[in-house]
Amino acid sequence: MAAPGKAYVFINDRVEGYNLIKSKVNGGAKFDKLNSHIYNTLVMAGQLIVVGDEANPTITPDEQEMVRLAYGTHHSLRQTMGDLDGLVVKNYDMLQKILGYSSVGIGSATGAWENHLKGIEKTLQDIERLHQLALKRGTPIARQEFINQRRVLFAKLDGQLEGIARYGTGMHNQGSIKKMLGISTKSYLHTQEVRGYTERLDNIAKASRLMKAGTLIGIALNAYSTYLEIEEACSMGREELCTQVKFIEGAKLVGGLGGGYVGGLAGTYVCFIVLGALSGPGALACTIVAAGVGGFGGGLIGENIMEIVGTKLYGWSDGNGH
Amino acid sequence: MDIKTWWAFSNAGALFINIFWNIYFLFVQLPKTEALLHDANFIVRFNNFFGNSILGKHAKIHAIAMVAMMPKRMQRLGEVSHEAYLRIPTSLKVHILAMYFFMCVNMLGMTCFYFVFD
Repeated sequence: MAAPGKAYVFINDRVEGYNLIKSKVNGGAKFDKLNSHIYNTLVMAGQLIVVGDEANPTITPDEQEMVRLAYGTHHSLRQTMGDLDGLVVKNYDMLQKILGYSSVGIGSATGAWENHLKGIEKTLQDIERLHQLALKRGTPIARQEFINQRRVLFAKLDGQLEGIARYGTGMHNQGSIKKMLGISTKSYLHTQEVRGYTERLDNIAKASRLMKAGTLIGIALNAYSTYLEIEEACSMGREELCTQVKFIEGAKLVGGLGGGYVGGLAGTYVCFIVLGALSGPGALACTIVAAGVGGFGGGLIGENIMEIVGTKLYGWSDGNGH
Repeated sequence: MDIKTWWAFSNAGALFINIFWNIYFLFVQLPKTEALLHDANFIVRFNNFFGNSILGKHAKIHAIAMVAMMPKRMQRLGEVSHEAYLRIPTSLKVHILAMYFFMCVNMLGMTCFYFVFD
């Protein structure tokens, strides 16, 4: 709680979390009331922060005037920002959580998608090889053989691209596979290459790489945000607050990642139970969604739980625990 | 300590036990179980689909847990033969069931914590 005293207002000089500002000024319940327009958001530089007299629970006319000014500033700042920026800032916490926890779950589930995409890549390479061979041989018998083999490969590719399984390949529903790949024997003979083939492969490779990075991005985001919180708390020169933040934020990071992992695991298991066994694009899609939802839920709750544990551990280490 | 803190500590403890138990099973028990179920359809399919990745290992554990929990359904689906099912020792089935039961209880405990105290 803030010490009793006169209410004042200050300009926030850099972008930082609401809770951190609140802890810096030792704000209490009244601080939340006075700054309700920025409550639990990422506070932009230039915002006015009202610090009231915590000893007096009622809002005085002076404080009311300060809130009016702060709200006006907040409104102007929001208008000057783009819609998207505003949305990101307003929902910063939520977005960070979604990116952080879900990607832990989704990252592991998308490993399966990556393999699926690699399978498509291999079929495409087989089609390309087949075209090259057919061109070299050129006899009527070889041509019939080529058409038969290509039909088999097209059927395989068709199965691999069924429904949701198309995502990440850059191949959308454009009718026949020949049309989708830009293949016709005539055009192939003319240009000696499958039109757009390289582009397709690039798309697939890019999607695979992104999916592989999912888990790492999630962990890195969480770890970096923890690092920032600790660094900010420690740069203020208050050793007590610095240690406290280290305990709490460290525990939250562990809880978030651990909860995300087990939640993702439980989510994918639900898919196994519901769908019998993991096979086909439907099961794959279910796994990815369930891993994302499970990972997010588990991470969120794990973070809440470990926040309490971290606070208690800090209390014990400090000699104030009960 | 109040009930919320107790609950938080027990959930956190259970979460870590869960993670380490899973990792232990992943690297120690899974290869043994896989050797016992070498002819099961899902083992062959998952090995082809996932390779030897961590996700593949998890997928195989999930499927093995399903065999332990609902053997008849998995046999009906043609995923595992009756002979292969009989090859799994009872102790291993109990181990898998206990691990999954613990995971479900842990998740349930965490979910209750969230809805009761938040």
